[in-house]
Amino acid sequence: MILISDHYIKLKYKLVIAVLSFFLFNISQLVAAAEPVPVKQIKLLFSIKGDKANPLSLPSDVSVDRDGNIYVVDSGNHRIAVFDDAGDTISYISSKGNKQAEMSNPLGIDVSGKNVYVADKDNHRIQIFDIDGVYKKSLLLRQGNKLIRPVDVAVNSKSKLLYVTGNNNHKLMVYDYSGKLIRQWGGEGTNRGELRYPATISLYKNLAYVVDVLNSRVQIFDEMGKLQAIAGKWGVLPGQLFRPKGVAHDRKGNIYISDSYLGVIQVFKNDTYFRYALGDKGMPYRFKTPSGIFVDKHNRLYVCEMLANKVSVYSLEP
Amino acid sequence: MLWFSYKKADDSIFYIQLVLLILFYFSTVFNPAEASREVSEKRECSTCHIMWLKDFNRNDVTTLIPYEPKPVVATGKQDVSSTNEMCFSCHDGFVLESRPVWKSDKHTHPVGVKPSKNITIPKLKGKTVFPLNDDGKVYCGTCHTAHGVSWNQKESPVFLRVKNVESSMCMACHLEKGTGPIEGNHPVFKKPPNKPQSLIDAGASFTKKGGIICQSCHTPHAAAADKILLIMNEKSSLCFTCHKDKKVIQNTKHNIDKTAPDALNIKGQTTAEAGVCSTCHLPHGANGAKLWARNTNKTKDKSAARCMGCHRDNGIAKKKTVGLHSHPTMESVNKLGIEVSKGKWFSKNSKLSEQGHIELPLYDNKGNISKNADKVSCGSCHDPHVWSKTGQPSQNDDGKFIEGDDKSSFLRVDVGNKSTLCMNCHLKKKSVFATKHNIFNKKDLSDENILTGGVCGQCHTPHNGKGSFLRARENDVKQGDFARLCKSCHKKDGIAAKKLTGEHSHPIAVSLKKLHTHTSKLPLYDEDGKKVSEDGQVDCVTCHDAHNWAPDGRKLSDPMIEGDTSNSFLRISASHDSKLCVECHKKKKNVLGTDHDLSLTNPESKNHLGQDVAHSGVCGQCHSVHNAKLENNLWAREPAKVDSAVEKLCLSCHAKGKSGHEKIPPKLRHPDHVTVWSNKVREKRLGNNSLPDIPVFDKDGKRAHVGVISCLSCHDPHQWQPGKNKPGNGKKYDGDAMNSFLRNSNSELIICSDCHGADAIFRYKYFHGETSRKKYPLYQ
Repeated sequence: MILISDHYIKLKYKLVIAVLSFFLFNISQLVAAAEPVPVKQIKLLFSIKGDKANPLSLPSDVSVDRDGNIYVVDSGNHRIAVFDDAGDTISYISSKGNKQAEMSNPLGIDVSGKNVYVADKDNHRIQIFDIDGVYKKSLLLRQGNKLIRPVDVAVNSKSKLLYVTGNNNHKLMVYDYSGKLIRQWGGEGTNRGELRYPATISLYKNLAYVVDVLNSRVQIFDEMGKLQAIAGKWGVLPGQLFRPKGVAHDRKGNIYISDSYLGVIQVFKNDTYFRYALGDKGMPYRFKTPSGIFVDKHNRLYVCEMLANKVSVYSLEP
Repeated sequence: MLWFSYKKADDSIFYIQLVLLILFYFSTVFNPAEASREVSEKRECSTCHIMWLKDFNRNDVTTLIPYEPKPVVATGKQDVSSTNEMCFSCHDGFVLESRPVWKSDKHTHPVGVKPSKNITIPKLKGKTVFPLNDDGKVYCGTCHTAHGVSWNQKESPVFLRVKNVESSMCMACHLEKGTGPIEGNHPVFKKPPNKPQSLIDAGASFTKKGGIICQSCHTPHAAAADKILLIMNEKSSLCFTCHKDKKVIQNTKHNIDKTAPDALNIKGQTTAEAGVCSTCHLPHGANGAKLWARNTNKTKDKSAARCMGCHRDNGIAKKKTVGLHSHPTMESVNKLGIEVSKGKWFSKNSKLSEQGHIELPLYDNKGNISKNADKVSCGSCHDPHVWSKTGQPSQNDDGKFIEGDDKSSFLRVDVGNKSTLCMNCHLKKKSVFATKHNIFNKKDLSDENILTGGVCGQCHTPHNGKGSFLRARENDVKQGDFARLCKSCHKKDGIAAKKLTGEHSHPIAVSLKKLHTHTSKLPLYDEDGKKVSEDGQVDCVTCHDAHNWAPDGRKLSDPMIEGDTSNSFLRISASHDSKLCVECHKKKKNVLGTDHDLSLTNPESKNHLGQDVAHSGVCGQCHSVHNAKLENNLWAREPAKVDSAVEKLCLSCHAKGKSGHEKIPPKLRHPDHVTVWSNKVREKRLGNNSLPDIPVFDKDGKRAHVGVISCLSCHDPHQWQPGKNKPGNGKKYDGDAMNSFLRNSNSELIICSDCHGADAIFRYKYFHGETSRKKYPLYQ
């Protein structure tokens, strides 16, 4: 009896202590001061708006070639605008239409080697130009009777594969250079591995980082489509995503995710843990509907601010 | 405090308290709405209603953005869920494609403005259907809501507050723009005349049957042009998408940019600003029917009022006015024997079906074209958009406008030599082709005598006529407007110089009322040349129908043959029994069948024109309507060589070797020095209306108040027997004192009694025979 009573008394103690601790912890939350959002300072280098007579309209994505030339999807004008590394206009590729080399509501872009790959969304194809703007070929995306609307394209030059997100099938599709579908995964849903309106893609070390817009996360898949990790979750707190659109990597593997409603760009470690938001003087920058982003080898961050009709270029190492 | 006891019996109380404490905590302290929970209804709402997230209420965390449930944005203060950025965050193409809406905020449905006074936002059960933001301004959420209506996208785009079937949503607020032409708005629900391919390519919508709606021309987002038009409307290119046939106006004088570039429409726009169409027509806010964009003239004819807004003395087309004498408008084609039913013309006289007619636009009393309308207006003859139906150029090589003629001038139908346009309606006038009045039948006519307008145009001009009957030619006749049309050709140096009326001709501009007679068959006219039914006056065209050669409609085998009293454009034949003459001179009809009817007594007799009785008619043997020998009674015979103006007439027959050689009066005349009052004067002075007509004559042989007694004082050469108002019996026989064309049969009331007393009647009745007079004992 005495032994049983002693054990029993200890259990009670433990329970009381646990409950009281829990209460104290939560109450401390109420009275404790909120910590500020961790911010890393970046510096604006310049903004690209295009020529006065021919300005950018709703730029949706950006990529940079090995020479530092900047390729912007000038989506409102249904073309690609090419600028040099100082932001001066070089040329324009394509125009509105549905014929060869024309575009209709393009969204995503990738530059790989000497080729420019564009997700020509409403023409249901990936169009390929060389970096001088000469048309090379297009890959019509059809699955049975269904024409796919591509959102973004990312090129794995080593495996010679194209990764394409589909707006109307909620999938990530992998094609070879001839346009043959190799594999695809995803499908509409909220479960792990499922996607709701996949947007931009960033490839890093054979992993595909896909922005899953309406699930407010970035899902990370291997080459075979197996889910490896998820960065971000729905919300408005640091490390949470509301309307993610753009994803990019720096050389260290940090993941940059733009949020087109919140207007912030948050940085996660490669292991998907939140590090900080980008900003200045302790305050996150409120970009104007940021969508596609890109980080080049010089650690310059390129941000498409769609409703501001510009691409802003920042130094990540001010 | 937790009851803490070592006693076993108290354990249950302890655990109950513990549970209650935990429940208390969860109800008051712990926040269950942590953002990172799994998907729930609240999550879906917060997809747009971000500020509902309770993280914003926490003091222990810092959210990435500040709490601002109603930010002030470009459109004003409104809920965060309906801001531009919130909507765009999905509609940027990455989720749903609406980028064209945001591509250009230049041409889009206005937002950030308060609705105009013309707009009444509808309410349903007391609640505004289309809410405004907190500043009372239109914003995206006025029309759109994520809570949406029917998802049937064939009917209506999603995320609208109400269904938008055939632009019903537009009309919910903008009803004043869609009420049709009567209220100055472009027609809706009506099929356009041509398939508007460029609008279709731009995304235009139409009714199921292809009718025009708001969204056929307008789009609330990503419009191409001002007024949220689907396509540019520079130089009226949008209008021409449907109204292709009107495009030709650009090269005409009605492209006012070329002819009056500074002229303004009712919106204060020049043609360069408004486009060639909007110079005259506006799709909204126009001046009534035909979507008129200009001020109108104040005329009864509402259709002509539009044209006359420019074509008037101080208008921009002042060089092209219609003048005082112009083709009538608002007159019914029924008057021309044309009936109209459902846009088709019918005619009782079948002439409409004989020729290829064109159903010209006709107007109702309000000046609108309709299928059952029957009235003529400017637009019946003119198409203001097309200079020439036969492709006549409007400009010369130097770009200067060419003066119009009957093959251009915006006429719907070529006029040409056959006056096709005129004959399209004036069916009965076509008979003029086969007459001498078809000037083109005349072989030796010089060009300087030919006017524009074909056959009709030689006499008539639809505008700027020189007087009545829209006469096209001028003359110096001074008798008001009478005879001026005819005498513009039938004059000494005119085209019809061989057909003159002569010095002595039937009077015109005389009233039949004054002659105490009337006609039911012949037209009479007032001084302005207008046909009147009462108290009208005689004109050339009272007797002549200038379009018809003969009263029975006979056509001529040779239009140039000489006419006679049975044709010569007479409305009624004057030959034989002179029906034309007696139509007005009714009492003179009594001459028929008497001794003065030369068809009975001397059918071989000829008047001074060489016409026998059959050709001249009974009347024509003594009287000539034109080219008479004498002014007095328009005498048609060689007058006798006597001094008395009256006796000249009678003795031209009652003489040896003449028609009346058997009736030569032995005693000719009453003494010339005796002049008396006529009975008419006596009637007036004595107040006695029953005196017989005993005229007296002046030296010229005209009836006078005071004058000499002559043949016609006692005789009425048209009536055989006094008091018998009827023609003769058709037999030739000797008369006596009871007839013999005497005016009177008793002596009491005649003027003769004043001088001759009781024997006056004998002198009267037996004037010519002395022997006869002496037989009677009363004769002194």
